[in-house]
Amino acid sequence: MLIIFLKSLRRLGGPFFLVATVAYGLQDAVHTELVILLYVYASLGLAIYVPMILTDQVSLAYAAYAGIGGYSVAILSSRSLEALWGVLLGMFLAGLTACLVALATRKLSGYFLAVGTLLVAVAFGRFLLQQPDLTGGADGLTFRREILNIPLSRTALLVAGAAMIWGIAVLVQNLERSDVGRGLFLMGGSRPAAESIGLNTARFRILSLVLGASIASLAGSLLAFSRGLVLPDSFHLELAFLILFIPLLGGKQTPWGCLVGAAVLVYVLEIARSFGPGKLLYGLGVLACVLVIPEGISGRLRIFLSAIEQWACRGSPESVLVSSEGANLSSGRKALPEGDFERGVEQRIEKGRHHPLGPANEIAAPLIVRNINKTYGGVRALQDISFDLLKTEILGIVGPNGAGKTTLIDVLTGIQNADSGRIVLGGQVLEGAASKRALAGLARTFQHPQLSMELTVGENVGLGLLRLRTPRSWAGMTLLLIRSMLSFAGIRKPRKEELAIKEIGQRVGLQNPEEKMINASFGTEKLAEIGRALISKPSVLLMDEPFAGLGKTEIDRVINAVERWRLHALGVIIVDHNIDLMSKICDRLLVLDSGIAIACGPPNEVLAEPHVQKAYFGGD
Amino acid sequence: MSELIIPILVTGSITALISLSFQLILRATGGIFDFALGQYAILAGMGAAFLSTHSSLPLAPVIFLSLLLSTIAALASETGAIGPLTRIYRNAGAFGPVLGTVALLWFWEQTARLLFGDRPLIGDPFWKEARFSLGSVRLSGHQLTIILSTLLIFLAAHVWLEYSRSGRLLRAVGDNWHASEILGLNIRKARTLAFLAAGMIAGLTGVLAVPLAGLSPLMGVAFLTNGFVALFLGGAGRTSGPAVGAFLLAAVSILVSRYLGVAWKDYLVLLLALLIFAVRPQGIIAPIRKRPG
Repeated sequence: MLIIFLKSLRRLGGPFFLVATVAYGLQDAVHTELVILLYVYASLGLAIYVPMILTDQVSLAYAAYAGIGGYSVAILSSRSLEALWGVLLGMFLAGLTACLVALATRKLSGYFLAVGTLLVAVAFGRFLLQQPDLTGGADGLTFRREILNIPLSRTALLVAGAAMIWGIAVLVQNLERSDVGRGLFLMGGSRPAAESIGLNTARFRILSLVLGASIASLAGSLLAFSRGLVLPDSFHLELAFLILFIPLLGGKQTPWGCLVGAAVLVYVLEIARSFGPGKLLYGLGVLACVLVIPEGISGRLRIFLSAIEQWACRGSPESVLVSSEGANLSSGRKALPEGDFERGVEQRIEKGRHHPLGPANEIAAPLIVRNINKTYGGVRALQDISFDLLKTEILGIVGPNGAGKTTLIDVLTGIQNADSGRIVLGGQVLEGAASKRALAGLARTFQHPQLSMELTVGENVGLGLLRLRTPRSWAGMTLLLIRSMLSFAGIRKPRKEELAIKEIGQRVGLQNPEEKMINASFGTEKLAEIGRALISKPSVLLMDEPFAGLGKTEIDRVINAVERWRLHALGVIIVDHNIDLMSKICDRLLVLDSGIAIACGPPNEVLAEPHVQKAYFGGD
Repeated sequence: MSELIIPILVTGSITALISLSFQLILRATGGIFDFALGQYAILAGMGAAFLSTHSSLPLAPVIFLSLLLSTIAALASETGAIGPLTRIYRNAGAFGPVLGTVALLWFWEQTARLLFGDRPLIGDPFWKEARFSLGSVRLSGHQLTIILSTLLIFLAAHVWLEYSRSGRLLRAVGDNWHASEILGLNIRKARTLAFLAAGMIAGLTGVLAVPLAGLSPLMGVAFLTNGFVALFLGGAGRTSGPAVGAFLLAAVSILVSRYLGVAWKDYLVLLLALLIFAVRPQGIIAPIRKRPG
């Protein structure tokens, strides 16, 4: 019973809260106003939630976006035009403004967006006061509260408000649980990683800000309808600061937390009417929240409820089922007996002897790299690097620290731009953003694993599947975002994808795909990242120090997975310091020293060359 | 036209000082903008105006106490919030620090409201009786004090950052925090020095600005936006950057206000900011040096 109650509380807490607020608001006009204010703040919190929690963007223009929505309704209604057009016009104008600011700050850190949007809020406030013919100036605008010629009663407003919050929260929740939402989570933590799975982070960042601005405009329209009046003070800069912290107070675990955050804010403002330091304490509370409980109040509550649920689940039939599934999963993976690692390596050496080596071979080179140069100020990190990656080949890139190995991988995958040079993959010239190159067939892993810590190990692996279905055009991305919001399928993964994740997980040796990434070991992080790259079925796989931090068994599993993959792919490029291992698994080695390619060929020949030995071991 | 020169120099000086405070913190922390900086100026400025009207203290203690207030606020922000935020969100993007510094801005704004009220306070000008003229250009003693103080502070900041041991420490820590930690440099000292200096300069900005048209708690945002835009207009890479950006911004703002109307000043700052962010965020004059990622 307790388990069912706790699960219901977690799943239905938000809708139940909404029903309770409608009942509370129906008492009298004062209560209605308070509840509508709660809805306005909650929807503004949801507007902020999308870009802030999903993509790590802090914007300070939400009061202005709400104002655009409110004033659009008021201006059209006061001119006897249909208010519904005002709602839509407001959403469009707010989205457009957000898009322009996002475009201007597209390559900059979060501070620039915050200041850019702060300036929007200041300019909007000035505009409201300076254009009295349009906005009514300091006196504002009054209008008839009706939509589609239907007068809006208190009850209608409350029900419409609650339905609006429910609708937005469900849409945002669907987005959050979809693959795209998870990709956006990854983007918030690491843009290069999101780009490497084919997400055009610049465009998705703009889309998330536009979405947030449109929701804020809707909130502004609701506020205008509730009063039949719009005033510049209703959308003051202070509101921008107050609402900014709603998702944080509510918690970033779920969009429904915005209801909690909004309730706290309404309560604080009520207190502040009679108690001077109320707002000061709100600021302190927010700071404490950022520093001490980054997961927010409802986030902490959910963790607490989960803990109780787990405690209550002990010994129940469900937990036995989970354990046995776990055991089957483990038994499905063949643990390698001691000595297998060495035997596996020996087999690969044998195989390597017969593998086609060098450009003289007849097999065409699917990845052609020519004259790549990259400088940082006065430092030449890469100088005229040229090589071919042959079909099904494993090419190792080795060299001392600072040789330019990671820079080369970054340049090939588009994380950094080369100063000059040419990269051709399967006859197609690779240029532009990393996401474009990922969609063309490149997948990579990073020296330091870049994963979404909010997700499970399996979900992180599944993110690689996005590479196979991310559209390239603006329209395609917008549609994907809308589809993700409307689709309840995102809540439950299709069986095919589950199987793919399970298979890759077993192949690379992931013990527990259900484990939260934040609790996983470094080795699991490395394996999950390799799984994420492999599941996307890339043409060329680039791995930056994949073996660092792994044990013998894990290394062997990774090698097996890569070996198996090479047969289907165009090739694999590995950067690593472990020369012994690299010389055993790679068909050829490219040796870099101070940004220059000093040798390229079969491992035994390359490593025997005196200038390679000198680069590694020093001396004459 | 000549009557606009002094307002441009005075407004530019005030913005330049705030912008310099931004730059000091930016350089010491390797990328953090303390959004509450304008609020430190407000605390000191309103504090000075409050003390001069509600007490019989001479000017020197009033200035000292006001600067003490802004410096304490800056150091408290670093110790209680920005420092811990940097550690907690070290590898987690700008989200935490941005939100944290916005919360600080809110906190100090509310503190100023509680201490001094919502209404603007106007302070007594320095060197009240003095009047100077240079051809057709006339300026008051207070205006001359602002211009000369700005000049002196920029010279001192340049000498400190370029030629002193602690200045080099500050630049080294800001340039590569990780390497500085490995080398055993005193990171805490560098950051404390930067916040100390930034709090004092911001405080002085408030003390110098409060006699001009008065200050209220809500004006901290204007200090923030103007200082930030000036920094990126001039360039954050050199000490002269904030000054160049500030005087340019002041010139354009005052000319636009004069010929197109006051509202256009805000629109123009917004357009200018978006243009710089989009086209040349490294600044017009002194670019930020790129380094390997």
